[in-house]
Amino acid sequence: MAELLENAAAYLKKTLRLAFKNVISNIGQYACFFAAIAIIQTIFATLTVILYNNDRTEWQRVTEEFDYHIALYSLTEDQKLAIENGLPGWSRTYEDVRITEHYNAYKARSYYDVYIVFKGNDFEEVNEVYKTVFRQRHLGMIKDADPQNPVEYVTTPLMNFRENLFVNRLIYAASMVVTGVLSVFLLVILYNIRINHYKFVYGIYMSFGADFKKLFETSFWEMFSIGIMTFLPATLVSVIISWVLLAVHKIPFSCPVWTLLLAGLYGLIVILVSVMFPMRIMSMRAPMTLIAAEDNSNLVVSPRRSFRIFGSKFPLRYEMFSAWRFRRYNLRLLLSAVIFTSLFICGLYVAEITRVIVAKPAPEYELDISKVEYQDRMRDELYDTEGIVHVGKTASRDAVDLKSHMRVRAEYMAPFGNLVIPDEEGEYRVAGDLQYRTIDEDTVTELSKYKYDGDLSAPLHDDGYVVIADSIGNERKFDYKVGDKIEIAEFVKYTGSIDGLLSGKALLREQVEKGVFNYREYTIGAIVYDIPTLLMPIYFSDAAFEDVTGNELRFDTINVYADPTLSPKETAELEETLRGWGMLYGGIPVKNTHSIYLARVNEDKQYDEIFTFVALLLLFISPLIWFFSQMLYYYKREGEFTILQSVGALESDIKRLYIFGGIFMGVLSFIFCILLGYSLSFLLYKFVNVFVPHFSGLDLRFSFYMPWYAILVSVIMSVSCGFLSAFLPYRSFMRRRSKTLFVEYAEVSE
Amino acid sequence: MADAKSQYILHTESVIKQYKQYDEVVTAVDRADIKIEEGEFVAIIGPSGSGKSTFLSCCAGLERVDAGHIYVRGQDITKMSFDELSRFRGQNMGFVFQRHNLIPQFTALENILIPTLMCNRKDGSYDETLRRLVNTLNIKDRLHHLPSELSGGQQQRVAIARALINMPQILFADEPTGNLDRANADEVLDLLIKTREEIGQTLVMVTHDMNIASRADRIFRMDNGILTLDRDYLDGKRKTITGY
Repeated sequence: MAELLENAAAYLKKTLRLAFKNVISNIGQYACFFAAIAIIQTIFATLTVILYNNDRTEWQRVTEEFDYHIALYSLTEDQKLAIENGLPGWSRTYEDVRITEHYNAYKARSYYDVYIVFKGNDFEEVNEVYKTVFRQRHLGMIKDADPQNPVEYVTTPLMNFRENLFVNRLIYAASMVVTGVLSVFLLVILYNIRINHYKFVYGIYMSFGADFKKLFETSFWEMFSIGIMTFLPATLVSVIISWVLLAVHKIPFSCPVWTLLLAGLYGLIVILVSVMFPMRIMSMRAPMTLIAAEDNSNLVVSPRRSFRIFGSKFPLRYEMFSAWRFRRYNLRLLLSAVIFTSLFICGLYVAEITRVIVAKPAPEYELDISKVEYQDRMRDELYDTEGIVHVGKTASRDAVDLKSHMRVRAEYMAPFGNLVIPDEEGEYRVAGDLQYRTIDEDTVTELSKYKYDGDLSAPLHDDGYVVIADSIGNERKFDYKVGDKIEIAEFVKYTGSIDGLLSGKALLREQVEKGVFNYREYTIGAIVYDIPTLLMPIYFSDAAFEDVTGNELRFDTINVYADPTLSPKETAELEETLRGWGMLYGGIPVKNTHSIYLARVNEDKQYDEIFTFVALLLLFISPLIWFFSQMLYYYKREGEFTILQSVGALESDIKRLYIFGGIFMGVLSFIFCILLGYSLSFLLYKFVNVFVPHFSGLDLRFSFYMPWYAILVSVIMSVSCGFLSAFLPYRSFMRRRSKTLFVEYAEVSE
Repeated sequence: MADAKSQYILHTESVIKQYKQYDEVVTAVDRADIKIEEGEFVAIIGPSGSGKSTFLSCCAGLERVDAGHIYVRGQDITKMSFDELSRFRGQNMGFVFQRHNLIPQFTALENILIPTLMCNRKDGSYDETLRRLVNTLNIKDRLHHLPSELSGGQQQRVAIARALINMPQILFADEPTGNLDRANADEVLDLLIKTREEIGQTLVMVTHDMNIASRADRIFRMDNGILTLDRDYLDGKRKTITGY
């Protein structure tokens, strides 16, 4: 064992010494790897430190918001006593009990909300008490105390915090995987550029016995030694950035050493994977093909014909053909460099999305009024309650539940609006993913926050008008304009049996084929854009809603929006007020969504700032690729330029070759940057708007967003890198050349 | 059959190597067969573009063949994986390229020692060979110079030292004197033959130069990818040896 360790230590000492020596003595060659690995380590360390602090911050918010583990609502006197007395023969399982009383005027009796703090020093103990004692034994006893009154209870995040941590870990893992993949992508690109330019050297190594293991070892230890050298500066930058981000939000900062070591380990894994693939591929090449690539010939794609390159426009035409000869190299370079500026734009888009999610107003309380008659004074009373800023009652029915659908004339279909085609002639299309809703003044206020065309209050004045969304599943399906007509189907009967296993479009097709419907025509009063449309909402007047649903109008829920600046204590007081108010109407159940708390927690997590920071770092990767690749490329073309000069090209011609090359790459990078930036952003937009809601069931929607400043920065970065990465090698070429000439002159003089 | 193959240090069977140039397939080596015994000096001659360098690269495992078998010391190198082939090449073969192919950023000494590094030779295990090669090849005072600071002949001698540092059983040389003047060419050839005699090495050389080829035990001729034994030369040589 000791011998093994000794050998390992000797091996490490030898290989690391060699690797360090090689890297340091050729530092110019490895400069871009220093920068790339430092960026990767900074991203990993920042994410790890920030997400570690998120856990702590979330715990702080939870303890601020909740001082109880479980709340039992609307218990009767007997049920309350069952809690107060505890389990017969068991010691008390809770630390503290807080009880609030509400008088139900309809039933002329008091009901109690009970808030319990369980005994236990940590999560495990508290959950053990909850699961084994409370849920299995105590809860049954409380139910038995008054079987007529169902027991409604909720556990708080104080007890479920471990699940929250799991979600945090999941987000962290996802971020690390995405960052890891991008990092591997970056290092592989850089490594391939390096390999491409040093194929000859690898070919010689392989000619004299180097196998994959040898090639991999050499490359890995070199990258490892770079990683060691950049680790401290990168982590220092990450710690400072994380501290600043948290300090801005007045959140205490903590940074245990293990978080930084963990980030270092991720960096190491990325290096390992990044070096492995290019070296594996390299080791499978025949050495002779690598040796043959000593010059730039491996980058040249044969034009298969000769051009008249020495015409009157020598440098311009010559360099245009050069761009064509090196088209594969140019295309690869453009794609790999510009993709990072596009990712910068996408990163800002994601940051914007997280900001929208956090800022999106959500009801703090949902009052279930499905069992009571809605009265207008309810709304007035709620508005009069301190801390409530907005109230909205809703009544909604899904079209599928009513066997209903919307019939659309073919000419109103948007391109690629994929709906069911019901008739042979193709005159109509039908859509079934609809939700019929009522509209009132509060709904109009809510809808006016979206972009819209037309008069949102039209259905309030005329039952023949509706307000519709522009899409289904967040995808634009129709080409309607305000004033156009839609037809809503009212189901009458089936003329044949329907396959019970069908769903979605297949079911709708069958319903349309075998159903008899009455179609009611409505005029579009307004079209709302950017509203979430997992099911496309159609807003009717109360009377029209009764017509299309075939039922008497009953409102389901009153959504109560609280002032987002309320403190946790004030929201708890407001909840108690609402429960008391609900009792005045016979016991309206109040569901606390804790949206203010959740928004605060999400805000504390600063995902938008992290995404912005990561996006900025991604932007800095682009110049690395540009300069590393172009420096090596032009270095290898110096022989070609020297030959040109030997056959009569002037120094100014050579300079112009570089300038034309730079302009050419600048123009191409401008085009690529715009095209790729737009395409990637659009794909991301489709992903978060269509795929995520479809597969997660989240009714969210975001606008398409390409911030002008992000595009401007990307374009400036790409164009200037494209030009300068070609022009700067000219200066070093001339410097080297002047030295050579000087030496030659000196030799001649002697 | 395996025994028959293992009596030769190099034995090829119907080796075919083709290149695709656009829509056209060029056969660089067409069913080439050769059997070379240990310690032999074999020269391959032929016009430019006849496929002799390609054949040599295939024999050394520097290029993959499209069909056929190549046995080196009885082992079929066409069946080896990339890594096995690399290791095998490092341990058994040396290669001198037409253009010296020295790595420009390494000194002469570093270039010579590359094969020892690739084959994980222990420090010091090659010192004696190095000393002997440096003396024989007369490059002692140029060891710490970059290739760009050496003359053509010196560069080629460094390349020979690099090919020989691991004492390979078989040395492939692709026109090693092609870029040298007569004096340098003779000197390099003398060195190769001298080293071969010292360590009992097999030498397979591609050359244009009949003067050089005439010093070989056997000469093969490559024409349009087809390899044949040069009977005239062989007969002439027999005549010289046997006194006909």
